[in-house]
Amino acid sequence: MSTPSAIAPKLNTIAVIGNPNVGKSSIFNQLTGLNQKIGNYPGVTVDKTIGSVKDEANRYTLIDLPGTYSIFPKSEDELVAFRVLSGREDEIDAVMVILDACNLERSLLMATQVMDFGLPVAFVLNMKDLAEKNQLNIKTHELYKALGIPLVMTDARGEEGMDAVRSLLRENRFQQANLFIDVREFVSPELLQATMENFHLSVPYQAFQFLVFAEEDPNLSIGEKEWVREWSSKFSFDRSAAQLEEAKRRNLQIKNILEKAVSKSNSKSNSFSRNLDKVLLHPVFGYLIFLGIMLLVFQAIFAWAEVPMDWIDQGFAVMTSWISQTLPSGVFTDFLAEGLIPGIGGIVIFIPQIALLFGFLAFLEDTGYLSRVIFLMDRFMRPFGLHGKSVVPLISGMACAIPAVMATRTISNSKERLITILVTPWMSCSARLPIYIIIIGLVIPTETYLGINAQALALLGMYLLGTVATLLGAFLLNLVFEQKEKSYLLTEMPIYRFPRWKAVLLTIFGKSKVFVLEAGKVILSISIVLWVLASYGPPSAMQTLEDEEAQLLAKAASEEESAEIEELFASKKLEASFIGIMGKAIEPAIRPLGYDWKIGIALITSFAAREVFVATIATIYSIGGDVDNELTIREKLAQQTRPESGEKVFNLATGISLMVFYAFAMQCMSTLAVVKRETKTWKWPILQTIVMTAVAYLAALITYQTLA
Amino acid sequence: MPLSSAYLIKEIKDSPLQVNLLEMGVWTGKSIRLLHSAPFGGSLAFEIGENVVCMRPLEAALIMVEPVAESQESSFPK
Repeated sequence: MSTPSAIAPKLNTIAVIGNPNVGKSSIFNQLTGLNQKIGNYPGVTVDKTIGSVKDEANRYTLIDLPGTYSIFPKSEDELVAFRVLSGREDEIDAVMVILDACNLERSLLMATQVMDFGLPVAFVLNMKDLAEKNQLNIKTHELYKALGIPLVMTDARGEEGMDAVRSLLRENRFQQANLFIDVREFVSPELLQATMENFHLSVPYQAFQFLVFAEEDPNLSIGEKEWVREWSSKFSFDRSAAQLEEAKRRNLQIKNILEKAVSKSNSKSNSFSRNLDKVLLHPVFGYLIFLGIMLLVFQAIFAWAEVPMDWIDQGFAVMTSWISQTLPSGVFTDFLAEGLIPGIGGIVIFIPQIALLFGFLAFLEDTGYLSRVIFLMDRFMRPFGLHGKSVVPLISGMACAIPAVMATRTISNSKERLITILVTPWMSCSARLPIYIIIIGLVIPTETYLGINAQALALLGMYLLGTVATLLGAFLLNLVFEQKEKSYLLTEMPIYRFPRWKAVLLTIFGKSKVFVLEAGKVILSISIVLWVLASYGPPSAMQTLEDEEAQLLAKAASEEESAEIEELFASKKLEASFIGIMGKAIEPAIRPLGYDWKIGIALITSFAAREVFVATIATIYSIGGDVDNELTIREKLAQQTRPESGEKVFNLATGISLMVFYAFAMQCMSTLAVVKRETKTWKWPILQTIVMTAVAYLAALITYQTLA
Repeated sequence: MPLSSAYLIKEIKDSPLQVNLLEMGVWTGKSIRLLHSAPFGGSLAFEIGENVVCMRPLEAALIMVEPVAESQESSFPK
């Protein structure tokens, strides 16, 4: 079918493919380093990672395909692999398949599928050191003879053998393979021929895979799918039976080849991993250790991240004040100092949390522990329509929903992944904490019940409320969403190994970059809009205020007095601004929840991020001074009374209603931006906002009406 | 299936998951051994050939096994 060409054509684009846990990404990272870009494949949520490699003469583009066990339709990952290999995405010139030397039988299932796609192929046998340790003797020459594909061996650490991989590229030793199996033996050649002609495919195996994948491919038109259905039934082509037949034929041949090419002298294997599993998967200790590790991760995102976050915060504050002092005052300077720079700061501030969470996750994944977590937790997640893989995102959500939503990538079942994304923002994230602390301090007495501080109990209650809401939400969504694919659990538990730090660092870098570039755009735009709304109002009203302020300032005797005047007018200006008008406009709607228009303004501004609530409340009640000083804010707020009745604004009912509102409402545009990015549509973030706000409103309404 | 005793995979029942099992290396004729089971009917971890694969009891029910004679146990067919 294929004739090996005599002259090696120039290589440009090479796809890299391999099983999960085979070290594919680490080889990809070794070759490309930081020269990586992340893009999109049309119609799917899978990220497209592209890297470039340069040698003396050439520049190659490497496409890192997602790690899969085969090219059978299972998830979007396989679909992407199929589309790339059959030339339906970018033009690729060759394919590099990474195989696990310890697991050749399984690796070859996909490798031989790739061979039949008709592109020039080369094999990289990774983990040769582990194979040697397991006393596997791989006769590479036998393998080469049987497969007709050039192969090089590399070390799991990715150092040894990398030169051979580079020279593979430089000398273009990729070779077109002979057919490993001929699909025409069990699928009508006429059907395959017709498919090839109709869809411009070059070899029968591509046509076969096209028929198998047609139903799953969102990029095919209804007419094209109809064609496939019609022709499949005409030739009684049953796609699952055909896949099974293909897999069986491949496996039979692979077994024959491996009998000749691999010998094993001793079957004692991986006793270290097996013994470690006895502890880590223990019905009691296993869970305790998992709890300990999650506490550590939680501690890291919660507490350790605070240090760099403070630096970022201060850095941006310094920059802002430098700009407003240095540049001539005017609209542009205000925009820079109050709109743009704080907006960028609001994005950058999340990097430490994202970096730490993904550092830990990459570390746990690389060591092989993450698949053990799935083993431990799957049973407890199933009743809620979630998967064992949902556990880590949900727990991370207690620190911050942004990295948590990004961490749902590993869930392959699309329904379980979507449910996890949709409910994660209900876990009590760290941005809710300052609000809870201030309000609890205001409305909950410092008494003790049964030796436990009532305020601490209230805080614990808020965290429990979030967790219960998350699980209940998942349970309800599970009833609402129809199941497209059957949920199942079938995952490898790789042997434990020491993590590769470079891979961990590259994950951190990649995730942070994606967040800043993709979600950052949305966050920046919304924060600029909010700034405009908060700084500008109807010109006549604002002008009057400016004039009044100028008059009073001119009369001010001391610096203290003028500071007081400035604070007062900051509050008045916020009241007169567009956001102030909006806050007043929504007052009738939020009055039944026990809020006044000032709280209304804070609700709107804290859409940017929940923690903005505190700063807005400080401005609107003209507290001024050190916003970080919670005591000042608390004392001032405690004195606020309602003008009509004279009772306190922040009584028990309003306080708890407000906390309940914050527990449920989707007040975080950064999360929305990330949800948009992860689901590749605005549908889910918009629905999420509507539903969460509605639930928040109702819950706060019930709370206030019951307590008041 | 009791913990730690070796079995051979006799048959894999027809189901949409059959291909998924095959690609994880779950093949007729391979040795299989239950290593761990999570509490309350949770996940099961099997050693299948050289790999450890984790699945739910539902998926495991698709795999039909037969006991291995003691003499065969030490030499897995590769």
